[in-house]
Amino acid sequence: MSTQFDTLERQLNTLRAARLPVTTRQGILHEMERPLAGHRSAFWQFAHRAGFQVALAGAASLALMVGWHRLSWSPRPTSGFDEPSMVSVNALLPSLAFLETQLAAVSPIGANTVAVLRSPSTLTNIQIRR
Amino acid sequence: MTPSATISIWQDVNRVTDNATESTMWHRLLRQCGDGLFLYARQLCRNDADAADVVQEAFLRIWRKHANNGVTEPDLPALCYAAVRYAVLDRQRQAARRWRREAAAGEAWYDQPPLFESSLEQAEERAKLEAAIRELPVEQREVLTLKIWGELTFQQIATVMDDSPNTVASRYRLALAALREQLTKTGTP
Repeated sequence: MSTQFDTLERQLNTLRAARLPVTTRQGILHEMERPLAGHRSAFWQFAHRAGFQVALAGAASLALMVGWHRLSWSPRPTSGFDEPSMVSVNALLPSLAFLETQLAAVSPIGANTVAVLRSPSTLTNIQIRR
Repeated sequence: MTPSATISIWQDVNRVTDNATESTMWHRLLRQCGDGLFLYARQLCRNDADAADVVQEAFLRIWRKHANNGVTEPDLPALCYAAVRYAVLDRQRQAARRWRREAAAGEAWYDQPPLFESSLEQAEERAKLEAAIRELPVEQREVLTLKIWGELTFQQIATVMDDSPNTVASRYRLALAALREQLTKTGTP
């Protein structure tokens, strides 16, 4: 069907689009020659996106901040005994002595019976040897 | 070196590049639509380097998506043009803030090289047509490019541009009318 624009359309059809740059064409062909599956990890598929880069930078900054915060607030390495446990052990010592007395009263004590309180810091270190 | 010799070498390089590869559906597509895709991208991008990047990104995106899913050859050009459009819009969204800042700073627009090839005899006519095309609103220019150099149907153009076929056809007629008026003013037959 002929229209009023036929001449103009013919004129336009005579124009040939400028060519795609050779480097781009070769880049596409080169990519297509590589195996399709697994030629690029998911990370690199998104790496060029600004949103991904911002998210990655944010996550890295957050991790750094959290790490720094934890380092600066973490307690120093503990020594052999700390104050709260010492208080509780001292409070328990009288009852420990009472327990020993009771035990001696109940069980027959021989000449070689020794009650050893190895350390005042823990109850479990009480050892009674016969 | 004369300009014609330069053009001849350029054409030889392209011919070698085209023929050196095996002729699969994808290679044929690149040969047939590569220039049209580049022209379309140049309508939407700020400079040729961006346009070339967009074409590469869009073409490879379509290739990766459809290389193994049995897509038919006639469907591919429209898919590639749509991918170019999507890639440009995606880039524009990402760079919108930067572009606004540059525009505010009064950055001059890039002086684009010619959109079309022509012999020396046609150079003047080509320049007038190109100047008239550049004057068109971007939507009309898009439709014109997809119809004339992309050789898509109105239905396919509508899909690419996410518009109705009637709107697209109407824009095409408006573009031709505006072009004819512009060319009449400049005295081109």
